[in-house]
Amino acid sequence: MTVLHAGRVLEEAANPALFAAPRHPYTAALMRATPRYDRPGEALEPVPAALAEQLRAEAEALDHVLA
Amino acid sequence: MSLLEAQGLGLALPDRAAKRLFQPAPQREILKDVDLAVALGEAVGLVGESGSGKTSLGRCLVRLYQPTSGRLLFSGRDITHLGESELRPLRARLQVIFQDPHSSLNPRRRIADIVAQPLIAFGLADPATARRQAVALLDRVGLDPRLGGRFPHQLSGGQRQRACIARAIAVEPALVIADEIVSGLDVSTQAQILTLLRALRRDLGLALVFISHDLSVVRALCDRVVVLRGGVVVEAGSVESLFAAPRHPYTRALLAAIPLPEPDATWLDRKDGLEPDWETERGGGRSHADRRDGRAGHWC
Repeated sequence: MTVLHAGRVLEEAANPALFAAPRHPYTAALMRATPRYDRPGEALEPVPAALAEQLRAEAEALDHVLA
Repeated sequence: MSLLEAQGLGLALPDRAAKRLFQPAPQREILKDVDLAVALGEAVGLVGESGSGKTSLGRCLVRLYQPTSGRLLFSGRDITHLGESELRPLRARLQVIFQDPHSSLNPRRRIADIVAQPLIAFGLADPATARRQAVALLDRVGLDPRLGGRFPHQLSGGQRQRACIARAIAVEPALVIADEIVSGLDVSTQAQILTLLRALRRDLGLALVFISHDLSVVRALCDRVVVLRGGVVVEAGSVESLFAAPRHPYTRALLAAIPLPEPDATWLDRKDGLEPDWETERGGGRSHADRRDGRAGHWC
């Protein structure tokens, strides 16, 4: 599996490994945002704005380097 | 007393696909003897696969479809056969949010005007006040009020759905029917919208009929669940009891059909999915081929 954000690959891992232990905070945030009927007690969290902001900034900086 | 109650609701609609030339379209039974009650401030999830009658039931509840049998009570008052002019004041108490925000927002109006529209239409505010309230409503649903000047196509899917929510709550309804409103959104946006709906329920005491095919979403938001299949309620109960101990085999099959992130190589091959012969179990009914899933203007 490949986790993409703003045109960047954030994480690449085989299927079971990715879900068992996401390495990138964005992958983990996506998993926390997914409701699960078998885990009703878990709070549903959208991807934190700060993390989204940081990723966008990183992507922009990268664009700058590549340009 | 329930806020909204359906008693033995039945619905038949003309089946245009089965219409023969120069013949009237045959009637097709969409809902059969459906009982449903929504208490003040309660969130009821309506689940079932495509074609099970979820959307039709939602439309019946607000009299967008005229039920062919049964009764519909709002705050104890029979509204089954009220004329449109008598229904009018109730329309402000019962709002609907549709599945596709793109087609339920007028592409030629700006977002703030769209949100202000019901306030003006129901005579609750003059245009200038309505516009000011619209800005506050946009803020309430987490939209930057500056987006009020934009047109629907200039917004993302999540932003459009927030605009639809703002429009629905503008008239301070007692009940909102939300039809698959998070189905087209990515998980993070979906989580934002679900969090928003929870907050609105808490702050406004809003009752919700939440139509969804996603049981995980229903579990995250609702107090009770009603499972529909082929226009019949097969099971209803609190989310806790229904998820912990589903009684009807169809509910069990729906639960088993939900993929979870944990690796389970056998999941796709499992035989407890939606294969068994339900039709015999509930004594006849429509066959799979008959259900006409996914057609334009679908039945669900």
